[in-house]
Amino acid sequence: MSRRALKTPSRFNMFLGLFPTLLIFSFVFVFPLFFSIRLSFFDWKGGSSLNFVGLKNFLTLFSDKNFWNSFKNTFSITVLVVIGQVGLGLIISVLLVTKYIRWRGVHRTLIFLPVVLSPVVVGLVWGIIYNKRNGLLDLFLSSLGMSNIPLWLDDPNLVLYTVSVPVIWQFIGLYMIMFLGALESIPKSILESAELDGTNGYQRTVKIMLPMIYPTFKAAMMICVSGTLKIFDQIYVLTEGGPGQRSMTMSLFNYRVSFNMMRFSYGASMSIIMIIITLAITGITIKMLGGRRYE
Amino acid sequence: MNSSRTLPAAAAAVEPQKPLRSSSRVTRWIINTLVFLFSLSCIFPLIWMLSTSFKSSVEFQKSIIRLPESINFDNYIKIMTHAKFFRYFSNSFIISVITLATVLVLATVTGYFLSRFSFKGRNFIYVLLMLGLVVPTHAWLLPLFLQFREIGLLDRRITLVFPYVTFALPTAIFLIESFVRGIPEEMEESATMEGCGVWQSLFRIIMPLCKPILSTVLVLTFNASWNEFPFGLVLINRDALKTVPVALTMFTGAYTTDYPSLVSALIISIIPVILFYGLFSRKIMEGMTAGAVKG
Amino acid sequence: MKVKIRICLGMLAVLLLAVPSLVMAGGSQDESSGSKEVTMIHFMTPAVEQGDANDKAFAASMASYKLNHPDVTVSDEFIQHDNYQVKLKTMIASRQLPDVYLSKPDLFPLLRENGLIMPLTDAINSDSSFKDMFKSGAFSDFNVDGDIWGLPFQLQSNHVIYYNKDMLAEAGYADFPDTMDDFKDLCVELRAEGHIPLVMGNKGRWLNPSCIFNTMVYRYTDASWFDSLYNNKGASFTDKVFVDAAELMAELVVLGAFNEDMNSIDNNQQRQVFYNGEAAMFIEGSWAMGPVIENMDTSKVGLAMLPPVKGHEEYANIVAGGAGWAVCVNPNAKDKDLALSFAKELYGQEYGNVAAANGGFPAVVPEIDASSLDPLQVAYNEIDFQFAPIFDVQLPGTIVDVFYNDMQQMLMGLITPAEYAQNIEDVRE
Repeated sequence: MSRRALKTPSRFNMFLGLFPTLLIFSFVFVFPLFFSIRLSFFDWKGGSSLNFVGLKNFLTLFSDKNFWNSFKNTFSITVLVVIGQVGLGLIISVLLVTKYIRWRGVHRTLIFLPVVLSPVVVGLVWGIIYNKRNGLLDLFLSSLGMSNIPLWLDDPNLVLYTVSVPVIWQFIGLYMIMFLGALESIPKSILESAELDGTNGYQRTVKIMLPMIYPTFKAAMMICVSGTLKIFDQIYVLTEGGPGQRSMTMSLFNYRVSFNMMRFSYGASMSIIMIIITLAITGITIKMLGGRRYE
Repeated sequence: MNSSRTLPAAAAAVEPQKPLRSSSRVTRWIINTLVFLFSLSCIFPLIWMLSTSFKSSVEFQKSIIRLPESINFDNYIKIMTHAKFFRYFSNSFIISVITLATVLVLATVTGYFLSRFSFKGRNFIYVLLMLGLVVPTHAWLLPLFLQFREIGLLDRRITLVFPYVTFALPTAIFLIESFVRGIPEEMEESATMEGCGVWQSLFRIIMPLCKPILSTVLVLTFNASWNEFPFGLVLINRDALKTVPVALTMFTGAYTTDYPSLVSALIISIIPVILFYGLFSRKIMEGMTAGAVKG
Repeated sequence: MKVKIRICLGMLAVLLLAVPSLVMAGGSQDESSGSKEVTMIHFMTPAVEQGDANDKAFAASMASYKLNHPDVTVSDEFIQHDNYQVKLKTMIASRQLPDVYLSKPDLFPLLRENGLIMPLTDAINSDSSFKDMFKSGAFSDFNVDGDIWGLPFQLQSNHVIYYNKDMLAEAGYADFPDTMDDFKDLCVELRAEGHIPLVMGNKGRWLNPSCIFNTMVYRYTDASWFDSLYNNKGASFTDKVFVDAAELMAELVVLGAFNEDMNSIDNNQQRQVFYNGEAAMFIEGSWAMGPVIENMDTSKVGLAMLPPVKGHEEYANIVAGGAGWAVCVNPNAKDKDLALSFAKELYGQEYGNVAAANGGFPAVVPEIDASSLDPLQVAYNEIDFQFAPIFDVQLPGTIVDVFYNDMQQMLMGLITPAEYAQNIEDVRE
């Protein structure tokens, strides 16, 4: 591979470059991970009794309907959100870069705004939209002559979609700026020579721009998949996982187990399983996208 | 915003020059409208927040969406004259800036090393970073609290920097790593020929090229640490060290919330992030267009 | 260019050096200058203009304490009510609590196990002038195994029906119905007129179980049933009284007593619907009175409680209510006596007076001019509430979680009342 042409730096430089990152990472991340792994083999409810129970927590977890329900919900939300956020973020950034749409500067600024909003505001604003009485969505649909408008957040069969929409809406801007950064660093000369070859805008986008930002696309997918699998705040402000357990996510359930029920050790084993599941799904996503090969 | 100044570099080359057929004109119009509507939805929360911030609590209870009866700045005055508000503000600011600087340095170095060199333990570092990406925040509260207490790191000015840096690093590293992969290696090879070491190559050649992605990383990291809540809640006790998101909960009582005051405070608190974004998104665009031949 | 590299490397070095030194710099946490110190965590917001009666009373009482005891350094930390439990439970699990803190009785067993709570029985009984300030029964919620483990600061009903007098009159009810059957008829009538009879904001899951259903159970039985359940003396959630109450709740849903979006709006939104005249009634604890007084013409608002069901008229006045939160003292406090006297003084007479003057219902008998009270407060005081234990304040979190969560499922019709009872009983083990 051509990349190996670069000389590997000396041991000292290697150490200097990587050690600080690994140090802070082990301190804040790896130690607590060991703590959680250890705790997951015990029965501990916050008191002074700490009994070794072996794999009991994990066995309980595997037969815990509520946990698997929350996994199913989280997975569905993730599929919707990844398609929505990364897909729309990519489309919008391409539209902006190719000058296909007008007021690009305005769009660039406005679409990023929701990213900085506090979850409280997102909850309130989408509450206004979804509200049964005087809700904007109901108002809009009834003005189109639609009757039988469903209950957006109370319908158990609809709620996974209705909670995903605000999440998608809020973070499109995040992926937009990731892609914009990558798209705008494509050397102009490449696009110009392609244009001289007589390709049209669509071909240039698909054949040249997208392959060139593929690494960024993969990083974005990785961040989006792993981020959505641990989603907490946005669901909490909209439904708190309800109605019933219909929009309960893994993180919300884990929080409930640890802090409402105070089953800390069970919560720890759940977080271990969550990490494994999330890691596996993220890993599979990356594999499906072609692994870490860049030619 | 002056859109001609913020034009991306790639745009110039991709602008279609032939007159459009009428069907594509319609498509273009539809897409423009859709993106425009989406942008409009993104500014809606901000308009709603502004409108709400001028209301009294009683007015808000009457209707969550109606425009205020009169413009009064009482809520803002109340917050700005609150003696401690600027302390919370500066706490958040100091922590965010330290986090930002640390993440920027560590992520650039680590991301560069990971993308350019193969060495023993490289895959291990990847997996470790991926783990950091997938960890559910709430599961880390108790272990980190215990650990920080053991070493006396609870309730210090520096406390929050550790989790903030750690949980911002994976995203930052993956973004930078994927971006550096897109940069041709010839860039550094010639520098290496001239006798530049790894640090010169990194800081003189790669870092300037990484500006677009670095600014994305800056915005993401700043936003994340500025808005972070659970660690700020649990790891800090002293009022003098509290951050803005935690301090803002004072507008929420046991059973009632003073939404107008909360929303006014939220408006003030998102200004830094928006300024930050405005500053950096413009900076890159200017940098990019500077080299362009024609607009 | 070389300079730039140096700067960058320098920055890195400074950063690495700066981190540990900053850690050290922030280290002077305990400024033990010999003066007395007491620490506390609580959820009384310091933004008192926005706060409720307890917040105002706390601020006033705290200011007086600091004024009267200039030699004592009070470090109190405010943690918002909904987040308070996260921090409290984290602190309990790591055995690191301040001298004085607030806790609900469900955490007493754990606090005792970890040696973080001490009985206050002697301190209360030996100080009759202190004890006599309190309303009768104020301490009963915190009386476990013959000892009192905390001081009460409020004594309130978890269940008050706030109703719109005009809307009830329009439906043909000059007075609030006094039997459950009449109450159901009222709901049907209001629904027929196009109103929401009873608006419910159960998004947070606690509102229905804690403020409505708990008292509905007390329409079929009294506190002795709960005592038997709590102490494992025979009663269970699958008992007829509990299932009957659950069936009554399910029946009200079918009658259309509640709003359709009951599981996606919160208690604040439920009040808004009531203020706007879209709903004729809402049910919440007496803490909602302050907001109602602030937002409505109180001459149009009536107060009531769920009427008795046929054949169980003897339980007509029982509601879930009591002190709820306890003020607890940590036996590991640096100065235990100081912590105790601080807690007693803070939640004493002044606290009660300010709370009552601001629409609250303190645990001490307030010494205030009755004519300064809002008519709604007067009306509340005239109701003969008989407090019985609040389930979710006493029961452990594992049970409460199902008690809360499965109620939403039952309200949606996903599980039957019998299944609801069974599911709770299952986690009781």
